[in-house]
This record gives sequence, structure tokens and C-alpha cells, in this order.
Amino acid sequence: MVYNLALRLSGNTADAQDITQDAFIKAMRGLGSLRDPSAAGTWLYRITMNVWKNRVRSEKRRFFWKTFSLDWGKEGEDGEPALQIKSPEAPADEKMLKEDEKESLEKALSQLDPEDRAILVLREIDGRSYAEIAEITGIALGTVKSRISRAREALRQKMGPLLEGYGS
Amino acid sequence: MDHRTCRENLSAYLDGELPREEKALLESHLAGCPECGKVLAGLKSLSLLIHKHAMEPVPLSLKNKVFAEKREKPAYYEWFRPALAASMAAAGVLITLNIMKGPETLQAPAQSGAAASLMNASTTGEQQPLPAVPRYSGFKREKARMAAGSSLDMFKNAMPAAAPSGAGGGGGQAGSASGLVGAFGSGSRAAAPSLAEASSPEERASEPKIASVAAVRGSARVKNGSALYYKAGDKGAASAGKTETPAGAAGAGDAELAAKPARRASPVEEFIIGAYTAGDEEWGKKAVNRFKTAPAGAASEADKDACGKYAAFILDDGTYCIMPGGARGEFRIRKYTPADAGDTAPGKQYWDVFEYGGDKYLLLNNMARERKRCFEYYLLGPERIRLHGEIDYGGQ
Repeated sequence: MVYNLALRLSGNTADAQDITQDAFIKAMRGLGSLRDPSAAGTWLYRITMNVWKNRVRSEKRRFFWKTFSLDWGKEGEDGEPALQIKSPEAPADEKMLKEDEKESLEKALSQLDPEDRAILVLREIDGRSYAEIAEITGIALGTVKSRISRAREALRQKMGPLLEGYGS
Repeated sequence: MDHRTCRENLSAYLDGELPREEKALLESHLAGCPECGKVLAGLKSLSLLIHKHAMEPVPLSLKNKVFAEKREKPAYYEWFRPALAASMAAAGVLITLNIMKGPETLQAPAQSGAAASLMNASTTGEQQPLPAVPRYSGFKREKARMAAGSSLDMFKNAMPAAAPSGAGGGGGQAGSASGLVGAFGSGSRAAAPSLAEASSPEERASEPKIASVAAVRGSARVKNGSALYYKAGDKGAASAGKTETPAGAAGAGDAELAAKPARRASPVEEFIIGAYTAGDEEWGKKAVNRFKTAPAGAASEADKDACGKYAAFILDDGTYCIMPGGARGEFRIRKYTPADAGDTAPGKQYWDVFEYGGDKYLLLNNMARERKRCFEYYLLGPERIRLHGEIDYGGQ
């Protein structure tokens, strides 16, 4: 589950593996600070979240300083600028109907905010309560509720045709 | 319970996280509202779908890596422990021998060199000056400050010469300016010279005078010129003369823009961007365009379509376009490729957008100023594009 949480946060398997590894290393080092063994899952997820946040922060820093190097303006092979804010993928359309369910779900998930994805996975797959998610992510309880609701609604709208009659 | 409240609570209801009273209210609403019932069914299906597909198997290589890490750690300590013990024992022996030599040895003249002076200081208790440590270069110092979180001090907060007064119904402007000061610290702002102060009187005279500050969302100096951004439909943009070029040139492009208010009420923000060349004294000739960005929440397809447009800038090495990156209102700036417009001029990219501290900035490589080469930063947002500061990176 730690890997899946990392995967939803980072959006790619390579980063997810690094985050998972770092999280386990940090957890092993800080095992002594775990007071309540029954809350080990929450604790480990919180570590994973922190590892991801630190990575994002350091990446931003790296990105910032990258702009100061002499070749900061070099373009990629495809003519796109080397530095660019990644734009979300195109919205779901009718093609989605023909695509595999999983692929459609992944595409819809990729358009969500990384934290929203992680919150959704914690809720849907790991069955964490809103209070636990609030503790893991460091987000207020009310915000967790609204973010889950918002993320689900966004997914529901994107996945619209696929959901009709699904599971019934 | 109305539809809106019901929709907001459906997710929590599904998760069993709704308080009893609200749950009863929602259930009574659902009993008489097939529309909300359909949404709930959709959310349930979504949950099933996520359950079925969203769990990815952990790669075997990762499992191996994590377990390898576990195995390696004790081995490292096992190696380190005797080495540490041995070095501590050696140190103990040396100290003991030193003490046994007696006070006359301790007071003997020290040999030259930093090591000798250090040893003297530690044994006699005198505070000798430490040997000089080579300092980091300025760049590294800034980098270290950045890493320490105080990097924002390095931004020399400066507003464009036209913007600071914020007069003429510029409440929103004043608000965002104070927000910036709050976000980046008034101390650094006070300590750093403003752009206006840094400019020579000649430079200031050649800058455009902004008649209506409220209308201007920001300005960017580019090579041999500047660009102004303002929001379409802004009161100031639709009424007053907007900008005046230094030599009194009428600025045909600007007048044209002024005549165009926002076309319709929409969540889409429309910005007008115009670039002018100071030398030409013609505003709006180089490039005038509009671009739109949809703030978060602009969901309708028509709004998304409207955001597909972009604005173009012509700089000395080619043409660039700025466009909204998506439904969250990001900005993208990229150079035209041959496929876009047949512009094949290679060269450096003068613009870019980067994200820092949750905000997006436009980075502008400004090589226009005679005695100064610097990067300028513009805070980007769906509501504003504001000059934030500049960093000098050396003379010509």
C-alpha cells in the first residue's frame, strides 16, 4: 500500500519506487519513535507523505536553480522548451468508451491533484477513515471530506459513460 | 435538504462519515429525488471501479531493494563499530601520553602551522584564531540561503514604475500588491532598491506612462521593449486611455484594445498582452494578442474551448506564445516551432515559467538594460501577472 500511495502521489513508477524505499529507510531508522504499534500503518503513510513532500520541494529548488545554468533555454529534441510546466492531459472524451476501464480510470486519475489522488486511494483501497486521512496528510478533517467529495465528483464526471450500470 | 447540499454530502454518506442527523436528512431527500439517487449510484460504481483497478502490484525489484537495505544496514554498523572503537582507543592513548609528558612540554613554543596553533589552543585553553576557511562563492551562498528557506530575501522586490501608485479604483491591485509584500517579507522589500530607483532617469523617461493603473495587470521588460498585460473587461481598460507612449505616439494597437471590452460574462479570464518597442515609440505594433485562462472550476466545454487560444510575443530571436495550460489556470510559454509558424530561428529562450512555493512565476531573461543583465520574476495567476523582483547576474 505504501508503494501505491507513493505511486498516486508521484504519478510514475520510478519516483514511486524511490519514495517507497526512502519511506522504509526512514521508518526503520525512526522505529523507536513509534509509540503506538497499532498505528504503524498511519505512521508509515505519514512518513511516505513527508518523503514525497520533501522530494517535491527539493525538485522545485533544483528546477529553480536549473534556470540559472547557461543552457537553461535549450529546447528538447521535439522543439518543446526544456523547461515547461506540465499541462494536464486532454479531458476525457468519447474515445474513453472504447478504451479499457483501467486505462480510462488511470487517465481520469492523472488529471487530479496528486494529494487528491492519494487521499482517494487511502479511502477507497485502504479503507482509512477521514480522521486517519487527516492525520496522515496533515489536512483538516473538513478539508479531507470536501476534497474526497470533489475528487470523486470529478472522476464521476470524467468516467460518466463507463459508470452507468457498472457493478449492478 | 437541497440538491447542492445533498451532492456535497453524498461522498461522506457513502463512506459512512455523515453525522446521524445529516444522514437522516439526506436519506429523506434521496427518497424523493431520483437525480441525486443516480449520482449516488454513480459514486458507488466509481468506488467499485477504483477498488478493482487502482491497486498496482509492487514491483519485485522494489521488494528486493527494500530488503537489501535492511540487510545492508547491520553489516555497515558491524564494520563501523570496531573501527570506531579502535580509533577511540588510539585517541585515548595519545591523550594519556600527552598528559604524562608534563607541563613544560605544553608550554613549549608551538610549531608554525594551523595544526600546531589548534593543538596549542586545545591544550592550553587559550583561544587562538582558527585558520581561515575558504568561503563559498556568492552563488553557493545564495544557494545555501535558498536551501535554508530564506531565499526569498534575494528577490529584490520591485514593482514596475507605473504600478506602485495603485490609484484610480485600483483596489484589487493594491490588495495583490500588499499580498505580495506579506508573502515575501517587507524587510527584503525595504532593503532592496526598486526597479524604478535602479533605472537611470533616461530609462525612466523612455518607459511608458500608464494612465490607468487599475487596468494594468503587470508589465514585462523584454529586449528592446516591454510588454504589458491587462485583463479584458477591466474598468480602466475599457474607459481611460490606458497607456501613453513616451513620445506621444497614439498607440493604435492599444486604442484598438481599449475599444474591446470582455465579450461575455464567463468564468474565463481574458488577458490582453501587448508588446512594444521603446525605440520605435510605437505601442502595440510588435504584437498584440489576447489569451484566456480558465480558473479552477470552469467546467463547461465552451469555456474550455475558449481557452484554447494563445497570445504571441515577438522577441528578437523569434516568436513565443503564452497559453493557458489547462483547467487549473496554468500558463505555458513556448517558442514557436517550425511546425507552428515557420519560425526556425534558433536561439535562447527568454521566457519561462517555474513554480516555487506554490506560486507560478514567469522568468524573464532581461538583457535590455545597458548596464544590467538580470532575470525578472513575474508572479502569475489567473487574476494577476505582477513583477515580483529581479536578480542581477552580471554585467555585459
